[in-house]
Amino acid sequence: MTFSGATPLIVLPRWLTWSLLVAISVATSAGRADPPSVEELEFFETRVRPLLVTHCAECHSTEAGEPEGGLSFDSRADFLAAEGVAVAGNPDESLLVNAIRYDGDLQMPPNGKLPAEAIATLEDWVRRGLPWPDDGKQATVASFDIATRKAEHWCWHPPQSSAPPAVRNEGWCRSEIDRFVLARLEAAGLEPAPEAKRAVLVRRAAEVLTGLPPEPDDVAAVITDPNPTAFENYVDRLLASPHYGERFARHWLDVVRFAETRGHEFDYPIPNAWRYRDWVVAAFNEDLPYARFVREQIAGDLVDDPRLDAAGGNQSVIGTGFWYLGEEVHSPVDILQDEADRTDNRVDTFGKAVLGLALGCARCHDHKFDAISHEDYYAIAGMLMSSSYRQVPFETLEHNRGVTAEAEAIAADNRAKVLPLVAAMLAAVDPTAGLPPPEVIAAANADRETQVERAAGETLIADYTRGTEATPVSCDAVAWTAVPAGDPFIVQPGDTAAIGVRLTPTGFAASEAVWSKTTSNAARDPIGDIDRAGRILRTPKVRIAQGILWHRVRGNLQIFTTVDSHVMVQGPLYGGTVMKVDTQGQWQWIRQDLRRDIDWKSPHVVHVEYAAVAGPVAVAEVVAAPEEPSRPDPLLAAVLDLGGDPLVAGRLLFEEAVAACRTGSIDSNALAVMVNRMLEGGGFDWSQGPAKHLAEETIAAAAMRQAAFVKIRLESATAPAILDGNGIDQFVLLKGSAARPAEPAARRFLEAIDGQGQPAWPANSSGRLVLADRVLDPKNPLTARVAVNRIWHHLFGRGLVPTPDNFGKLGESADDPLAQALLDTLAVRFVAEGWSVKQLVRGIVTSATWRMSSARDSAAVKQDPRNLLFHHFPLRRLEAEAIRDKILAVSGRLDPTIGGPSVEVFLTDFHEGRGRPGSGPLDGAGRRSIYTTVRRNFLPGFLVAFDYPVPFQSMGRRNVTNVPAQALTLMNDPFVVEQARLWAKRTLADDGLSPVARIDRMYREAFVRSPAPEETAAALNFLTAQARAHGTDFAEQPLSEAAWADLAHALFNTKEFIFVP
Amino acid sequence: MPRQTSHCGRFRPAPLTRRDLLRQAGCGFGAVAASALLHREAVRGSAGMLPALHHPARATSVIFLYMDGGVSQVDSFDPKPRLAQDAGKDPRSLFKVDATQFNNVGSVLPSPWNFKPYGESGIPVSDLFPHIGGVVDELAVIRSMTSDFPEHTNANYFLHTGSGLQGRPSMGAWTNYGLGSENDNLPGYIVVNGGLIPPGGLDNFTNGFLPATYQGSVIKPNPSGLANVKPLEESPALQQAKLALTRWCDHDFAARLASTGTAPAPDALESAIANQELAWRMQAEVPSLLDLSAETAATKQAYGMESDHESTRIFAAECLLARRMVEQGVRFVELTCPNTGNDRWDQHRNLRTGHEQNARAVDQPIAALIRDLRHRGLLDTTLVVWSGEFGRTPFAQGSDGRDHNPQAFSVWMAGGGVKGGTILGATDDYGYRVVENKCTIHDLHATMLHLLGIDHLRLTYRFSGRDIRLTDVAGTVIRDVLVDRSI
Repeated sequence: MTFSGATPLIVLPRWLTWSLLVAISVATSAGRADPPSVEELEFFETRVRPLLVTHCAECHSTEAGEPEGGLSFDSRADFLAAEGVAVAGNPDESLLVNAIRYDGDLQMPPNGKLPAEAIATLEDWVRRGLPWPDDGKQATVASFDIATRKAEHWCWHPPQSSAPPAVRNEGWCRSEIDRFVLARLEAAGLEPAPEAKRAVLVRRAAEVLTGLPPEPDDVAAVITDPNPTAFENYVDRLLASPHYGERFARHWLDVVRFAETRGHEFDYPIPNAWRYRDWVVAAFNEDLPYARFVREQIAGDLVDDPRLDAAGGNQSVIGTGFWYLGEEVHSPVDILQDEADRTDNRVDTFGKAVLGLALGCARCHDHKFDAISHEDYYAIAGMLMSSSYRQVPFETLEHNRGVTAEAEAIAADNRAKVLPLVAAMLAAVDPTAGLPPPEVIAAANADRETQVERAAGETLIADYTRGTEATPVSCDAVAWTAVPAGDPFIVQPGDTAAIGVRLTPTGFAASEAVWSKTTSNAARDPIGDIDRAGRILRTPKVRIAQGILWHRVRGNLQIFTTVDSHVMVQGPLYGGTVMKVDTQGQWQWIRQDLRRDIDWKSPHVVHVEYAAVAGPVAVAEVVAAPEEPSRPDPLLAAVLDLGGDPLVAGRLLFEEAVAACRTGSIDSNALAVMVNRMLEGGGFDWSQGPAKHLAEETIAAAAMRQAAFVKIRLESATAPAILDGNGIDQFVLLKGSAARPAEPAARRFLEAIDGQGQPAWPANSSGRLVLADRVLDPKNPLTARVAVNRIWHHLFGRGLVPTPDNFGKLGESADDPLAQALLDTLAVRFVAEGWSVKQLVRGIVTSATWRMSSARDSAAVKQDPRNLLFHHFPLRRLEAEAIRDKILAVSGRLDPTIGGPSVEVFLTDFHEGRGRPGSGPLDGAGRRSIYTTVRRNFLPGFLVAFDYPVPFQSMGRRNVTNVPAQALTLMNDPFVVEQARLWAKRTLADDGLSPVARIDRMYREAFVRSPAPEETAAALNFLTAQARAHGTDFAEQPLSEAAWADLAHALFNTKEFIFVP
Repeated sequence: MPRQTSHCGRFRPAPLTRRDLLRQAGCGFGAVAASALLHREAVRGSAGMLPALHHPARATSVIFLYMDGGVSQVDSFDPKPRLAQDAGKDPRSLFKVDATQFNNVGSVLPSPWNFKPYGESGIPVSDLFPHIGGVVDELAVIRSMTSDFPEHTNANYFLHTGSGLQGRPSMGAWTNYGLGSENDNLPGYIVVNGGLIPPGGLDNFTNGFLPATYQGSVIKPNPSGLANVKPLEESPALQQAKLALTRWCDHDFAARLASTGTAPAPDALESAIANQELAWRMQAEVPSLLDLSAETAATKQAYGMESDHESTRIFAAECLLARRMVEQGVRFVELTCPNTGNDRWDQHRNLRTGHEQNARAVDQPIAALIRDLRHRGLLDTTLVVWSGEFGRTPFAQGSDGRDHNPQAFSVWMAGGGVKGGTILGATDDYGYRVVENKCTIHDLHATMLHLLGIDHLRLTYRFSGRDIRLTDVAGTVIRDVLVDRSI
């Protein structure tokens, strides 16, 4: 059901609004056949043109770049090319006049209304038929065409595998990668640098693949290993290390703007976001095929083969936390705009992360350079708007799904078994006994029109009364089931005197008492004060235009009406979206007034989330309506529908009811009501015959169901995840503004890849699973390329395409055809070999190219200063995390535990602001940096100094800067000083060593090499001098910790410590 | 990198940048800042990305007085007698009221303060700011400022970065990116933190996607106010010896990276080595900058350093530091408000007490700063900007507060090419909406850059597939407040 009211969604007439977009295609009447008179032209030149130049040309001219909105006043041809701006002879219908009058939504010039005189002149100009001399110039504004854009830029063309080029120095090549690289070098007359020393390779491989220095014992073993594949074997060991997953996970976390808080004013947490982080770590460690890795992030909740962990927990769903790692705002005054902004971050991150496309650029207009239309953007945005946020109890999901299915089967069996007994009992009943009295029927008949009228003012959000026919039961886990009309139940369980069976007179969605006892053993979202995870019934999303909702519910439950997918209910606004009710076991219409919190001038998309507070709960219907809905008795309605003599109709319905009972299923509210009245009023003796049998069977079935429910696992960890819903198409928003919706965009993938006229996507789902299919389709030229390029980027410090998040026209392309061919060849092979990231990494790292020394040849540097051709291995500064982790590893403080809840950030006096948490320990408990909580508003100072990214959008390539803060950090940060002392302590712990041996060990730990004799001498001199300054004599006390700590600190400060050769 | 001949019409083409030049000359992407730093010894004052100013600059430095929380325009610089006439009426009966943050609309609330004309210009200022009234002839008061966001965080990001969302570079970062710094030993963008970090946190002062060199360094108004600037060694000699060893190792390392001939060490490495030298110098320079003991008693008193109120003393120190930083060539100084116990200027209730105490903290120090700058001949080249992130409603929230109002508020500018004694723009009878000369935050940014000699359309940085500017896709220089409108 969608909103179909009369609220105008388009503020301006359609032909006007589209003219605000870039390409304007509607016919205009500007310009006339007969040439303007000399007087008119003079009027234009003396009165009009000066106005246009003074007030409009700053934006509407090609002089200053591309003209705003495609409208340029540079020449007559340009002006006419922007069709629909003015209607010659008719100022009142001209957008131009409208805009300068400040009449409508579009107000020009934006910084203040023109003087009245100027407005009058321009009106006059339009009235006179827009006279403007034809200077013979052609229009310069280009239009948007997907096919042309696609043809023009390489990224839209599918990658092709190429045979490696011929090279002269065959002997140098270890893999086909090397042939591509060497061919380029040979063409330039350059030679590759010699292979780096084994020790350098070991350090490089360990630090690049795991982000940690190599174990000193490993170094010795690998260096002396005579096996020709010694290095390859070492790479395999590194790839098998769980620290590899940590390292590559951190790279991916940059791409998905990973954070554990939502930023904004109070920096509220994203509960359990670390589960997603651990999911990524595990994915890399398990070498989850990249295609699967992407699929689970897009639609892991929808895959039909979820990956289960050893305990049966659903792992696939955790990947979808991807969507919800962005910023969120509490109490936005303009909730529609806020949703547009939130969605934008998701679309943009998805586009960059997976496709290497700046989809976000098409939010306001067609992409200015790439083959991405304005509509493409909203086609994808719709999929996110169709889904919603949840904390998923992933541990128990699959297990409990089984239990629920079992309980449903028991209920269905029972119905099939006992309803025929009901049929038998009805044999002796007066067929019209269930009918209401004639005067009631007559009154209802008279009232029918009013009912119909009233119902017309209602917008139905969900109707669970008619089985799953109108609204499927959708929930965040498996706590709710559809109970059909005609389900037998015991009147008063436990009271044998009053025992009796009735049928549910209407269908509803039900949650058994057991579900209100679920607990998630970790942090949860603060909506209301109950643990909602796993308990939620979620209605479809519906676009509604009125702020009063009516919920027909039973039991003690919480209602949360999610408006425009806003879930940050923290006050001062939106408190009214959450309410708790207890109907004391009775069905009741509950009124919810959302008019204070939300402005209903525009329609909003809502869905409702119900969750049990205690005991069994049930939901029948929810509607948006000004007045309490009135629902006629279904039996009455059925009688009136049949028409004619009520008694005849009643008899007919009775026969239908008996027939339905014989089949074991009623599933009609009218028939169920009729049978129920008879069971109530039939004066049955429940102690014998079919009645007794009916009661016994029903009691037995209830007991069996209870026995099944005992198996439900109540406690589960949760993770942020997406929940699918019905499909909602988002409107194309003009200029990206939520206040200016145009036409809805049908959900689909990019037209440039999938073409036009694709079949409609599913209405009962967001379509994310189809999206995943499309993204991973072999026809999609981008996904594999982007992935391979990211890996290359991480291994070399620069991608073959240097802008890993942007393969579009404004990104940088691969340097030359060979680099392009290499990327494509690797991408094709990557897919063919099953999307194995480890295999790709191994292939690159064991190439001769990667093994080159980082020492530079002066001639090569002169010829190719940026090393675009890879004539040597590029020297790299370690990333922020790797520097900190290395300090911990060298000092011996590193706690190598993998995964788990994050360690709070160490806060200094400089971390201030709202939402400031308690500080974590100075050394982060010795855990690797990836395990420090990523709080958007309180990023760790040490890491930030070294270019740790601000998590707001994809950052596939980090800045690498040199700032004094880095030096100050290594010089004076108490963390560094403390670790230096620990390193010294560890160095001195072994009694038997000479100072020279200790220095040697420190060098090997920090730099993976032994010091040269002069380095040892310098260190000894330093130790002696520092010891003296500390008041001791080094010769007498060679174990002076202070002096050794100073040496350790000095080594931390060397560039060799933080630069990987 | 291939140059685009045209691109997203929302963004103007960037000139061939210094960055491009450096890159073509063989430097890495992030080496710009470092290269600049390396050349400091030869050229006093590092260059920014702009090869030359777009037009002559009127100002060389900016002091941004950030009135966190949103000062009420109708209680400060925009008198509205009509509020007294309509006191107690439901505003919705008088004009259209938009949704507000708390949506708890009370009645029309007249200002509790009187306004008086000051100076030769006769600009009215409320009794909240008698000292500022005394320098009013230096000010250009813009009564028609607007913001796009009614919530603090978005509005703060918007005011600082030209975008309501997190992650864009702050105006101080943009300024330094464009112009570079004039002091070798100090950061070019310093935020003196009086005690309150605005909602949105440190990201208001971020370099965003610009190189980290340009980020705001947050300094507290005391001698060890910069992170990690204080050596932990017992004596300078101990640290010097460490750095000497480190330097020796580094040169050795650099030498080992040239395999043949005389290939220079990679720039990144050279820059990192140079950085250490700079950091070492900053250890001495920053504390001496922050040490106010050399200031005369008269100066201290004029700023309010001897005030009975701690918050006034704090802001006085901030203003005095701002002057010292400008003297030292710091390009962009931002001052944040001290905590007066009233949750910034955000008086949703207790308007009288809150605004009074906040005003008391900043009024005297600001006036003294302007006089001091004038006296020292610095005001002509220092642009002073006073602004909150939005204004407040002319009607009450509850009974004695005012809610957020982004539709109209007052800001003022002084010095650096600004025409003193000016009032620009007007609001309606209630001070609720702008009716004349509407100005936006983008306009404010465009004007600030303009006075610094920068065309805001041409200071861009390519990120995420677009050439991004401080003024996003908008902004017009507010020429009516300039001494010289012709540039």
